[in-house]
Amino acid sequence: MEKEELPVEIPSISVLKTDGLTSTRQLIDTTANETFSFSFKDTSSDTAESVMISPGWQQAIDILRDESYSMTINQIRSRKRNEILRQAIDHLQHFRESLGTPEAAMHIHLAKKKLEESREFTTEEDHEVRLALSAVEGAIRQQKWRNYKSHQIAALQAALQECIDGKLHGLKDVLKITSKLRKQDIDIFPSAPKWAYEEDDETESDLVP
Amino acid sequence: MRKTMKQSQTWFLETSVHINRLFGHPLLKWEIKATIATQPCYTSFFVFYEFKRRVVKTLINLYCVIQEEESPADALSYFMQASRSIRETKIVLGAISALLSQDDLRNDKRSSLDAIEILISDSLQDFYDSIAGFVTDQAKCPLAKASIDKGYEEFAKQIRCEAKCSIAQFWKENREILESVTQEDLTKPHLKNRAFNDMLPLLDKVLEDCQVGQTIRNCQKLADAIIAIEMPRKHTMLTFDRSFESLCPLMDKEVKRLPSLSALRQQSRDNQKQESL
Repeated sequence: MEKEELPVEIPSISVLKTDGLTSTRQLIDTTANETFSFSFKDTSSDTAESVMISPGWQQAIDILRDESYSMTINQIRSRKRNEILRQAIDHLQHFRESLGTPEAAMHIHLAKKKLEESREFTTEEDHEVRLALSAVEGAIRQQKWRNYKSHQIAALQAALQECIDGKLHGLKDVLKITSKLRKQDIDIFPSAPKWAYEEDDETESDLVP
Repeated sequence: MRKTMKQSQTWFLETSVHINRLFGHPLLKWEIKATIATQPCYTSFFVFYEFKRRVVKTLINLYCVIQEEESPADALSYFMQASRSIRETKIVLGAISALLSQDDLRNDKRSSLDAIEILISDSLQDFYDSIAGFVTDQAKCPLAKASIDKGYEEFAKQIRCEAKCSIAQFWKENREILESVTQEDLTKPHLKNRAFNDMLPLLDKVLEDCQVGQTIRNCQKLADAIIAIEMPRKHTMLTFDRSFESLCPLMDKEVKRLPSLSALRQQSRDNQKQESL
């Protein structure tokens, strides 16, 4: 599996408190013609600094010239999420290879953990990815690990790969994923427990005496 | 009355089958899957309407309650107490309660909302995927067109019945079938079927005045009869509901009622016993 590294070491993470700004480009645009102040905090050293920017924003440019800051927060988030999803795919691969052995349980457990972890790197904007991940999680929840078949795991891996590849542009794309899962006999719907039928079973022989 | 089943059947899936196919107990899901595996399945727009009302509307309501409540657990507990659930709604709620009691969702509002949102959309997609087509729409229920494409709020408006439809005309056109279903000597063997027997007085009234069938409450009570009438003769009704065991034969149509959960559990226990012997 090809690994994609973050472009530079980002001190985990230098948070630009930009009051609602979502990108450095927006920061530059906003500060171009007005006096603007912002603070940033380096969580690795736990120090915070405030900077006043006057028109011309030369200081801002100096900071933003660094490649790490030229990435949007969303890009960083989605890169991190993709990295975690790739790890989930790897765990599923190990799960696939160890099917029929007790080791398989550990790999599906680790894959589940990675899916859970990936959620921390999704926002409202990643709507389609979140829904697709929810479907994959639902699928894993629905089926006992020891009942999985190789082609079913491959379908789950493919679904995660589509999340990574950024191919989900609308609900229709997500539903294509769920349809593909269904074709491999993977159920994403939860099942009703026995109590939901109790009354039903009593009236099963619902005949007037 | 035809009792023998044809070798090759075209199934007509009734609402209870659609609901159990998605949210039912695993044994029921498996039973449905095994039954319909190789044959084409059809359904009606009226069944689609019932599916939307019982499944999609329930899930949307729950989605909104989760948004407003502190946690998914609180939302579910409120919802279970507040909703006057009929059998199929209870199945959907049962399945969702099992889902929301999972450790990763118990208190995670956003993940729960995502899970329900994908179930709402995919339940509709799966409905389409499961059938080869719809039979002729005679009832012309406008609520069957309710769509989530313009949001949940719009769907809620569209699925609300105001009895502004042409169902009275449907009853008028199917008067002949109504006559045979209510004919005393023919119905006698079916009077022990409670689900059918409860509907019979209302069918009599509709026969006298078709407008009686066009009220919100009566239309729901007569839903099984509407579904049975719309099913073409060449199809076989697949259902969990006992009422169709009377309605279909009286209309000279075939029906197969799937076993209940308790029957399947017993069957499964018997099989295990036999295997151990």
